[in-house]
Amino acid sequence: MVELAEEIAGPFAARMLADAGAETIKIEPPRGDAARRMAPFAEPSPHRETSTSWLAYNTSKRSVVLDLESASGRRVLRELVGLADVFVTDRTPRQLAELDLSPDDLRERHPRLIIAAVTPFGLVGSAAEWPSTPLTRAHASGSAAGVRRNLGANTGAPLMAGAKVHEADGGTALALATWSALIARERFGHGQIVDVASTEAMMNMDRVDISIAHNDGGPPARPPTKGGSAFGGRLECSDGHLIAVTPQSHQWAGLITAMGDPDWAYDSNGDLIDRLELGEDAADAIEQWASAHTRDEVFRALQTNSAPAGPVLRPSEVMDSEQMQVREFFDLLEHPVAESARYPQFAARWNGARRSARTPAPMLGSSSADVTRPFLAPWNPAQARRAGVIG
Amino acid sequence: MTTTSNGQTTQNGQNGHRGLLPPATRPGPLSGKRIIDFTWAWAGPYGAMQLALLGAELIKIESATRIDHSRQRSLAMGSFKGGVNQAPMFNEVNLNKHSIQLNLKTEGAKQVIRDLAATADGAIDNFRPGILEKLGLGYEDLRAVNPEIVMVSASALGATGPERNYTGYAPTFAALSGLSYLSGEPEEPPVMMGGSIDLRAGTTAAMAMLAGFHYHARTGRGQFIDASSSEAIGMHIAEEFLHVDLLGRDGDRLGNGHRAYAPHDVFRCASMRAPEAYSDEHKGARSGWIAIACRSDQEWQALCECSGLEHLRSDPRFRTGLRRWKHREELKPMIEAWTSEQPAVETAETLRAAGVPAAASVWGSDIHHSENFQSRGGAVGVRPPETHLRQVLPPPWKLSETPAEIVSPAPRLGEDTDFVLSRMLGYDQDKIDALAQEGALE
Repeated sequence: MVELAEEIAGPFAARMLADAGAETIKIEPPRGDAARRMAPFAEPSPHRETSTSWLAYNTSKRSVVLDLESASGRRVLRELVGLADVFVTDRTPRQLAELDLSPDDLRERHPRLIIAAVTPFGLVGSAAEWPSTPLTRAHASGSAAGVRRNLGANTGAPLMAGAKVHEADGGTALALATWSALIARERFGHGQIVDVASTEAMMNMDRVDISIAHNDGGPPARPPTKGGSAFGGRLECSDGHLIAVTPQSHQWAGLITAMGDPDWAYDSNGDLIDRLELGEDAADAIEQWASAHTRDEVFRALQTNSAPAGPVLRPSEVMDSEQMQVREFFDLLEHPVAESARYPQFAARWNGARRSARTPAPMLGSSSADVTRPFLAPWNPAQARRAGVIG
Repeated sequence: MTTTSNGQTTQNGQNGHRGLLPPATRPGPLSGKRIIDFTWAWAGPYGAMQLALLGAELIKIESATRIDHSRQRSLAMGSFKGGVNQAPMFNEVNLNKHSIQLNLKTEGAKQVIRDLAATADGAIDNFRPGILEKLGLGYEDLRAVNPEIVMVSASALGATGPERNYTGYAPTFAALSGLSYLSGEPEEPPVMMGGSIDLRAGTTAAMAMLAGFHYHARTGRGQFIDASSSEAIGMHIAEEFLHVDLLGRDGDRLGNGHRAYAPHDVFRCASMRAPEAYSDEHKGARSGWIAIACRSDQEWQALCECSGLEHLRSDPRFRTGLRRWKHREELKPMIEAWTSEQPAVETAETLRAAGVPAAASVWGSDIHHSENFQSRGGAVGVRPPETHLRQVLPPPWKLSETPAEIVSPAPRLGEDTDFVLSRMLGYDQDKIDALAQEGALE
């Protein structure tokens, strides 16, 4: 696999395939993937090997630095792509054409090649070359409006979700489609173009509510409830927040049991009153109960009674949780510059085990000479490096 | 509305079982593969639907004794007033599937599952771990009739560990993964996330199934894949865990902000579009927001130039990126004073033409009507039999040689029971009648 992609979406997709065993050559410009310059860094001052965003999405890869401004650099890249099974890229159609790597041309030249592209607005379409950033993509896709709407408020500024989750959506869509293309290739013998618009990947995550807004004129009027859900919501416990969600009647009953079966929850026949009929008074009572306990107390009490709930954990608390440790969700990787750190794995265990034979993100250009040697004639790698073709 | 944006309309039969779903014009990557779909709610069904869109034959196991609650209600919206075959939530995550009605508590239904498993390539569920095992339909049971079956079991926290029996929904997966803590405005509490989290978990489960199929193609071996929805969300925020180990603390909530860039926010506009864009039929939003991000002095200067904020260019508070970031709270109202008199869509166009990353913050019909969405083929029309024509989003990927085709709306409850039993499994009428007699088909 050859990767020409930066920041999050493309590298994340390639990383999932690389961690699964695909030999992955990442092509970087001389100054490196832009993620190498994304704060925060492991050290107080920026260092090209220690950006957390760089480290997180580039495990199990080799790094080759090519100067794609030079004709020789572009030629080496085309040679590498020609020998690959998969070419992962996030370059726009215009940028690919400038590199003489237009998807349609590649498709013709290399019928078995899978061209796996994740671009902001797709390889085709009127917005293919729009300037954008993660912020504008999250808003152009409806994803940010979706976060706001889920808070139960249809007014107020639309809001990006935390971390880089919207960008990661482009990565998972690309990885899924590329796996599919690999399966299709084994069955039918041909490669193909995988065209993922990261904004469409984000949009799909909200496809249910977007559909209702468009086809049904928006969600039906609903009783105002606290915390953003008709069936629970965000509760403030003594040490932080917790989310409880009880759409099914047995789950609501479980919540009431966890609270010690208060009288207000039952009618004169001793039957549980429907949550929606109780309204805000019930919400107030639940809030009051939660505030007198820790997240962990409320979490265990609810789950013991089959009421779905989860404490709002800090990432550090996720890493320390017994559940995640028993499941070995994180593996410890040593890195020559950044200190050793715990990296999350793919979210599944295969026949009871993790597949965790992976290496940390590569140092910039650490495989340049090894990988490009066959394609540099009449130069050797040292000469090519002096000429600035490789780095 | 009777036409669809790209001329495609999909409709299924009105009465009785509808037989095979209309074939796609070209085989998909998973054509010919049969998958038993035990999933319900949103996450599992969406993951299984991805596999159906890739060409697999999905047989959704349903029961009137245990209705998929997305046929009835949504976490955020509450109860849906229509019948079980009319729920828009259900339609969106169950396209291209068959539905068979089986009461899995009966012996006859269990035998149907075993017979299906013998002919299936995969099975997917999102039950609490142990539920299928208790019914005698866990991986080991299915493997006994088909050693090559690939089974993905996606649960809230996974099938192992002390919290394996805990249940959850999208908002709790986000809470337990660290994402909720990181979402929201800096000075406000963390936000409760919604359905999009389910679809992320579903995407991950679908990917796991593909990895399982790929492995099977190379080795002939089936396997059990234990997927955790909370881990799936954790996987999407990988850098935040490195933040903890390498910086010694947790990351922060940034809202629409950025660690280094300013302006980097959404700003209120006068309207979504310019007044002339509105007509009586217009379904989009009237109010609007615009997202603007400046990553360099060049982008900042271009913004000043086309916004009439020319005077800010020479303002020492905003001269460098670092200064703009330090004074971002002062900058915001100045920009908003301008945007609040502009329409979002057209202003974003102007800014982009000047090289400034900008976008109207859209939703619902404004997405469907947008030129960029239309220029990529737009929505697909489907007509579930008991409701009206609906425009649904195409899948989040386009495959040039094995394109996805939406060939059917979501099935009615049990719509394909007869077809699956008689045609797929070859049961005769006496056998089917006996199952009905037993209550197996409820």
